[in-house]
Amino acid sequence: MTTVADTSGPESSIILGSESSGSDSRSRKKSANGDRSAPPRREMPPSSEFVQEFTKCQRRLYLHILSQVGSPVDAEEILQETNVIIWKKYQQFVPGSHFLAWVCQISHYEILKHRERRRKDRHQFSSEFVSAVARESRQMQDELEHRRGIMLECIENLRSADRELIKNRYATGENGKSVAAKFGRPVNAVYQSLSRIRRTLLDCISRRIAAESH
Amino acid sequence: MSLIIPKGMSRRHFLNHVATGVATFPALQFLSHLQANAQQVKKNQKACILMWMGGGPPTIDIWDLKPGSKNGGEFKPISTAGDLQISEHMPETAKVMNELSVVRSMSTREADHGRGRYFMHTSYVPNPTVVHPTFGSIASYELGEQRKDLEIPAFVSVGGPSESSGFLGMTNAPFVVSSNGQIQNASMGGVTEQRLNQRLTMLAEIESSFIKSKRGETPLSHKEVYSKAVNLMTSPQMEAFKVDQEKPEVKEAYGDNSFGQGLLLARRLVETGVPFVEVNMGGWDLHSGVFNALRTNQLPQLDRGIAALTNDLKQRGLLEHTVLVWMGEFARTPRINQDVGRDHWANSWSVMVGGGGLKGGQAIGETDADGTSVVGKSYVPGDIWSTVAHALGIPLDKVYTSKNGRPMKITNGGTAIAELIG
Amino acid sequence: MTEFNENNQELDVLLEAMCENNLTSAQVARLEQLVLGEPAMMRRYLEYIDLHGSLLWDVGVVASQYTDSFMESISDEYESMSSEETKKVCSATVSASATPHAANRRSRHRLVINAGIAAVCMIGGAFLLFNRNTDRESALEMANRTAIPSQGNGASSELNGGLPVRGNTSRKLQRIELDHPKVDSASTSDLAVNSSGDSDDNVASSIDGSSFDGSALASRFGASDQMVAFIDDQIASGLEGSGVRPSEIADDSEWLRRVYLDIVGHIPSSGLVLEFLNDPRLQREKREAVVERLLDDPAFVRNWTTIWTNLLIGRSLSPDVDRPALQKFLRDSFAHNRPWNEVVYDIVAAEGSTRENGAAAFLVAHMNNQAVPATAITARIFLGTQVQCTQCHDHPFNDWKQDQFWELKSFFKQTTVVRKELVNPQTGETERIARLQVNPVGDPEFYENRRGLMKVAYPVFDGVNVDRSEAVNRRQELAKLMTDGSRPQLAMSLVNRMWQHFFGKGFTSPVDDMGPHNTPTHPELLERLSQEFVNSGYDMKKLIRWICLSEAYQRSSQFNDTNLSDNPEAGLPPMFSRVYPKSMTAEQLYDSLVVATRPQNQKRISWAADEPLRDQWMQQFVTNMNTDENNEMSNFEGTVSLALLMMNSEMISKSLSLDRGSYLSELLKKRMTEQERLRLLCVSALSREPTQKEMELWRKIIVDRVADSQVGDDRQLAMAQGLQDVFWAYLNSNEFVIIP
Repeated sequence: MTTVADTSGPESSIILGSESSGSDSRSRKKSANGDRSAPPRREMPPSSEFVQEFTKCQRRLYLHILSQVGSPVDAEEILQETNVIIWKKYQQFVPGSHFLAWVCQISHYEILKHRERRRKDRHQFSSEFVSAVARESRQMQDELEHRRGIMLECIENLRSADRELIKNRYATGENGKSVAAKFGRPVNAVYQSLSRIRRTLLDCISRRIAAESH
Repeated sequence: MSLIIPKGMSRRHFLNHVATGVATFPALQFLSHLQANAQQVKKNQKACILMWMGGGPPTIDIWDLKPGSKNGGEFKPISTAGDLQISEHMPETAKVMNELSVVRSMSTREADHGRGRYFMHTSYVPNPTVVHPTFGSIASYELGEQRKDLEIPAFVSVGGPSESSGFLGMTNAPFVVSSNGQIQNASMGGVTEQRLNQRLTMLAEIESSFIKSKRGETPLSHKEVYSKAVNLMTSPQMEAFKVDQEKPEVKEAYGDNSFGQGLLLARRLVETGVPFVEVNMGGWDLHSGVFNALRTNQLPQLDRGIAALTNDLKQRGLLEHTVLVWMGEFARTPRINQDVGRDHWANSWSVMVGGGGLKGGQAIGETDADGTSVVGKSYVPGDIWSTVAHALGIPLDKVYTSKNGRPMKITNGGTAIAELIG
Repeated sequence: MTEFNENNQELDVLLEAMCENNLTSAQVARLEQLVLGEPAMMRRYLEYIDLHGSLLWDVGVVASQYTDSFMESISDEYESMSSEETKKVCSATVSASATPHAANRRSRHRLVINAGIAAVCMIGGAFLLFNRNTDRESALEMANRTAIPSQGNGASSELNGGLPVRGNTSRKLQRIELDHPKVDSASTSDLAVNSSGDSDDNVASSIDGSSFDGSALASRFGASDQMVAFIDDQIASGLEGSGVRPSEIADDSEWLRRVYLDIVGHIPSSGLVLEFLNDPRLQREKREAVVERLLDDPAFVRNWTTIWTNLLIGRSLSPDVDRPALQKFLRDSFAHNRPWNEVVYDIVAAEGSTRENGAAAFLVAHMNNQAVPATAITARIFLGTQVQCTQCHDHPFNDWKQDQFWELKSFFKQTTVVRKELVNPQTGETERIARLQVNPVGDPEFYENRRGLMKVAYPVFDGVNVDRSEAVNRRQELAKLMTDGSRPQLAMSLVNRMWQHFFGKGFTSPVDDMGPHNTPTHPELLERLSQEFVNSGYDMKKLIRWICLSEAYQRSSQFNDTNLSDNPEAGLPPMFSRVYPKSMTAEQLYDSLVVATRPQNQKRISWAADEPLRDQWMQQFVTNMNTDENNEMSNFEGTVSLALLMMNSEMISKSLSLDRGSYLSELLKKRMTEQERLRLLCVSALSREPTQKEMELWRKIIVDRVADSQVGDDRQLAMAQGLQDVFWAYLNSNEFVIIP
């Protein structure tokens, strides 16, 4: 854990500094652009371990962020911004240390910045809530990962109509409303179906976990 | 069959008669429309000309410049007759920008050529079970069939294939011609009308029994397309394709290149009552050497063409009824790559829309200082086509049913852009 | 407890609203209160949002029936990132299994898969993923079962409630592959038509030929019969319970026309039609004989050369594309029925100038734009997967797909095209010659992902990391990996494409976008056909034989009263209860016109001389899109332009010519009745006898015309013109251009 603080600290503060002088996250992207337009430094590409770890952490990192901000769109945006930083700092990553912990720490700063930008949004969670959820989410990471594996089995067990609905609802760019329009069903009915299916899935996961432990 | 409506007492009518098995047919009746349909086309018929920029144009160098940004590139913005600035290499267009508006907040996700083409033309992303009609086919279906005196195809694509008519069928497919307007094989050669008549009688006999053989819709569609083709080759409106008849100074004004001549052809077609013309301009896939290509080749042609078309339509009192749309499948990266090129980019880019009673001279929406993302509300092709549909008088709430029974909104539920429809 | 339940319910309601973005700020506050108030609520919150997010992440990208297997594979990917864990899983699998043999096989399988885990959606990821799916299933399965049959086609499906699940079929595939030693493709490379060297020597099962002559002949093609029967079983079982009865067996005219157009690319001549219709043999016997004859016909070579030339380099002519060289290479390949994997190997690993090595013409045509087209088209055409679409969806997953693209692209990193002006020793003229040159470099590809991050890609194919050193010829490695038979993608892609060619629809639509997002309609059939195709030594002719002799292919394209729902035209999935009508391609139309209007006395058609003419003629229908992926679009089938061409073009007036030596003038010279002549026109154009109604109408029109003419010469001309007009009508008909 000390590794994390050491590696992410200084540079984050620089970025925060530049932000307070009025530029938004895009300008950071641009400066990243600038770096990239120079020929890549071939002598030090990221290690393949780094690439693998990076690849591997993406979903969990996304879910970690999502639990703190609630909105998938925001979560994705923060994920992207976090990735920019991760990639910039790859040299600071100490091989063998806890990669997910490291990136979660980076995401922490990005979430803070995002919240700062959105501070007028009354739908935002309180910072108390966010830090509590962040803590809990980190602690439950392994368990949640396990649950997700089981979710996949549970999806297979859904009735095909339900599976179809879920698939449509979660297809890129869709939401409950658009799916209702597509199926020609009342929006509320679709909401109800979706909530029933999500509960079914949660129940199924819990049941299976209970069964496993016996 | 529901898609085809007889247009006046033309050959389509004739073919329907033939299909019932009438063996002989007076030649005169067949071609009598020549005089009957020589009436003046009503001036206030609505139309749309789509300028299609195949390959994906760098709108950051044309409509939404970013001076002072690292992404800004080599060009400077200049003021225009409208309330916006555009590229210094578009000086003639700048003079008519009071008639045209730029939507600077397109965000369209599809940055693959094929998918982008499909999305921008149809408002839908590709789907394996249904082929959505390109908007030109929708215009053909909605407006073409109302125009009883229109004998040439209601959707013409100049210098490129456009996209499929999808479930609206081959009768609403684009009729593809080259920019010189020459139509291959349109002349009947030495065959007399009487013989053509009898040939068509025979053809109808063979076709109708194959149509009845329960092999789906293609056999019927074949017959419908033939009636369109016969319509075309016997129509005096074929004149509309003869760009050569224009005065040299007019041709000169549009530019001596296929895009310019295509636009001139489009104007002739619109004048004749064709509701939708797509004019293709390629050469935009500029992964390298973007500024040089724009400066020396692409922008001079584009600038001249747009300005000439706008002025010409205006002079003829057609601009008010003719919507102009300029777009490609996507635009190009704000970032300039190591080959001084720009790559595919769909996240934040511009489309130009004007004429047809839409409000000109505006920049709608904006991108951030580096052009990499849209600030505020962004638009998708469905919104552009909704705006066009509004201007053309096509009801937006119309819902088609595709062959597999799926209801399909005309522009995928897009909404007309308020600032444009004013 | 009740309070907890109530709160729980309230929380669920709030979470629902949150998932649909309907939360008011007051509700946000209430949600926080609940969650922070009680650890169980916090758990519920996290579980809920994790489920929501996982669904978004996993489903969002695929949105298909394959979601399940896809998600499965992703989860596997994460699990297996750590090899420690993998070992644990494998050893657990071994110990849990009662059949060590089977377990071994599976763990080996798994290890292979794990080797390439870094990129999720590898090229042909679909298949990889299926296999992984199998692992999970098999682990579950083994926990429940004590023994696993070492070979059994039917046994596996019951585990899934009878549903054809990809995992099962791929397991089956795996078994077949492992239980049969791989056939050395070289040894079967020049299998003659009558080869009996099938690896599958099981007793041939008899065909259920109830409606197809009712006879299961002791055919020359033992194993063919077995595959043919398998095809028909699979199609039949797909129809079970659907209420759909397959269409009737097509009459001989319909079938003959179809099989000619499909195998040799043109309609049968009138002479051959009449001979076939009058052939007294059993239907099955004579149809088999036709298939055999067509496979040996020179037009077979021309047709498949055309098809593959168009697939590989498109139709538009360009001075930088050595079309004749590729055509020659393909002609040689099809003429000798070379194993498909060898052909592909030669194309992918090609070096040297196109003049010396026609196979090089494919890559020479697509090495532009830093090999973007070469990469995309290699994957699409040979492997049936689309990797070029790197920015299609606004979703994080796409980055993995992008990785795949760049990993594949890095195989082309060592290749450059060098163009030189050379003097042709034969003609003495200067020609521009392009050669594919391999440079010893060991660089990876550097690229920006969609978020603007710089990434690096090394040559990886299907999970196999290829040695990155300079000395290793990457394209040769790629070609080996693609074609060595252990990966089914190459075969599956070809089988799918061939099936579409003959039936009008593939097992997936489109055929070149296979993968987890695109479920095959008949997965077991696709996989078995693919495996048997591999076992046959990638024998194209054998594959064509299986398809063309199947009962499914004998059926009519006409609907019957029960199979109106079998209508892919309307966006419904194909059931293959009928053969779907196809529109002639431009080449088929061109060649068919040549055949239809060939004078009776002209025996041989000189196709070779015709090739450049036809290529030139094609240009009017093709638009090159000038994009970085070398896309082109054609504008042919069903268009007004085609109608005009068929009505008025020079090609048609030549076809109808009355000049000496023309088809019609020869016909007029023959001693026969007018009726007989009219009949021949119909057979020539449509491969069938004219209907009575047609004959009456023709006679009436012609008689009227002749009667109107005054003198003998005029009368003769009127008669000749009558024939012209009848022929015109037949050639212009929908029945002519639609392949039944």
